[in-house]
Amino acid sequence: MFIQSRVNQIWFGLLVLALAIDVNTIINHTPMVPQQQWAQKIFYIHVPVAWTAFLSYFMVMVAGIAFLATKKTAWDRLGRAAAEIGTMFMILVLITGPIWARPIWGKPWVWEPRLTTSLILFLIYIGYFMLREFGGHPERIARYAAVLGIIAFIDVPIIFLSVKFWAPEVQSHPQVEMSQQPTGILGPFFYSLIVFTILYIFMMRFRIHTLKLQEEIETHAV
Amino acid sequence: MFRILLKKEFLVELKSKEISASMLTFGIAVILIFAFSFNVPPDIMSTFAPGLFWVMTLFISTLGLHRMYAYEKEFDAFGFLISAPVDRGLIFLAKWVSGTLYLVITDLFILPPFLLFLQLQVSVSIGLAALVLIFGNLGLMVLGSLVSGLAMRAKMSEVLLPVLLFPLASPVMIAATKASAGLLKGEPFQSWQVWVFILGTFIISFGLVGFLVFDHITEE
Amino acid sequence: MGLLGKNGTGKSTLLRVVAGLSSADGGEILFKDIAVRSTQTGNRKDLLYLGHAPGMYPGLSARENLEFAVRIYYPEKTGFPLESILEEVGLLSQADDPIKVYSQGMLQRLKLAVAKAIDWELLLFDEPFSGLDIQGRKLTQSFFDQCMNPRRSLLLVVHEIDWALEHCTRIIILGRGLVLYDHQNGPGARENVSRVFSEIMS
Repeated sequence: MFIQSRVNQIWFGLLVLALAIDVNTIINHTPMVPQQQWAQKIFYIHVPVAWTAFLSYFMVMVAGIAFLATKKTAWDRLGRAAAEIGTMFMILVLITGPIWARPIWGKPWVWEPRLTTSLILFLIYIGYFMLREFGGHPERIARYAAVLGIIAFIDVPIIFLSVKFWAPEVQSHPQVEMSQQPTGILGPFFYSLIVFTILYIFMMRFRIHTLKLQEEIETHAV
Repeated sequence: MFRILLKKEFLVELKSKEISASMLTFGIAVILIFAFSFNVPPDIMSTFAPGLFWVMTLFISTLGLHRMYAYEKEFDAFGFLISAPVDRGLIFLAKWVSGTLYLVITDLFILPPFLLFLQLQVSVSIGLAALVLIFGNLGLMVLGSLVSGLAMRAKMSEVLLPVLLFPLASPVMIAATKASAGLLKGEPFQSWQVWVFILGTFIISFGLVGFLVFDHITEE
Repeated sequence: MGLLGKNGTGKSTLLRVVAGLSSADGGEILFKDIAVRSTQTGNRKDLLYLGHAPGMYPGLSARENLEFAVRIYYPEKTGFPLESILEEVGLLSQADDPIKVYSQGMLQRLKLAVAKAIDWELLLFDEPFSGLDIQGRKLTQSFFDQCMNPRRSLLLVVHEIDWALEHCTRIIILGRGLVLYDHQNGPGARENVSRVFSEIMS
């Protein structure tokens, strides 16, 4: 069992601690950026969350390719877990993005390439879950979902590029200006990035575990 | 084999004319609605026109795609096709090529009333216009043929197709609209060639992926 | 080989699985040492699946559908005796009508024409006799009789127990998701088959 495992309990405890430290650092020990003030602090959450979301969607593609090659259920489970968790993080991206955008651009939404790509991917994944819901036979759903996961991620660079050329006036993405920002940002930022990545791996393991249990219940019910 | 499959697509369409009839009449109806809904001076209209044209083409494409896969299901011709010794990638290519051709022809028929009803005056190079039209439609259809394959067997396939297709096709829509706008304004090709390159990249990547993965989505 | 069973016991599904159309919950189907659900098309050229649905294009005529079916199996060959096959199954006079106006029996005859035109080694045929008139049944029967040779195998879904006992070399009965009976046909088979059948039908 996942929760009864001592190792997992220790991991969970460490993660809670690391997140608490992360929040404390962000609030008390990072420099204030002029003009942006408190809103800028969301950056330490927004970027790691976005990184995790894209990593997760990348995992969906990897799992998709592996599933089509091997037809092993484990890959489908990984793909499904990554799609779900990735979408959850994507929702956070789309919430935190506008919070950060307001003080910088003066309005909550601009067609910034990264943010736009996130939105489009999120919409594609709504379709992904509809396909999983209405696809029919489980084995077929697994194949179709694998294909869609591959298509979706291949679309990412093309979406990004086309949005970038489409709205060239939106260039002031703060991440690009990292070098011009006050010192003392990089350390806490990378710490946050690592904590979120570990959190992601932990969540993935847990979700894969529950999916496995769910499948067992379904097979026993029949 | 590809030629046989392509010939079959055209033969079915020539006999029934279902796809072309539905695409054309739908297109005309959309133009009428556009003309009523966007009652603006011609100079403003001309900035809207490329976007409207590609939105219309996108809607028309979903209609055509739906029919193209419906006749495969009706008498389970698809069942026979995939139990036969056919490379399924070729089935995808035949659908893609024939679908693009239907879409281009429909667009050509619809362009005159589109320009007439929306009171647009254009003078563009025919060659470049053809390039944009063909690339844009190839891009829409390469994705459409693939996504229709995914959606055709699902419940609510008529909902699933646009829900999946529209966000995935957003780069095609952006690039085709921008290229058409550049063309319409009479800008030199160099200033908007980037959009043609983006369309080309899209077509090549998804054409390749579609050819490779279609095998996995034909089976029930 | 005859596949029997009550409605909804998965006879047609089994046929589709064997043809590589549907996926099984587990296991693999091998035909000529190659899995039917694989990208290799080599073994599928000797396999013909004729399902419950016609498996053709409703807008095309019988001749066009037959020609397409043959072309799909033999892209290179020319000069097929399509006309004589259509005549054999009694469809020549209506060969140019779109098959969406065809009756069940005519569609069944068209399927028979496809089975005649293609040189299969394994034929999967779902209810070959459904909707046929007496003449059509005779045509189908005589075609099956011609096919009785060691190179060719037929897997048929049938409902007539007597027919199966008379013509099949092996009889399989499905029910409750299981194989209830699977034996070579022979003396004494009738009694066992009837017993299994009266059990599942009660």
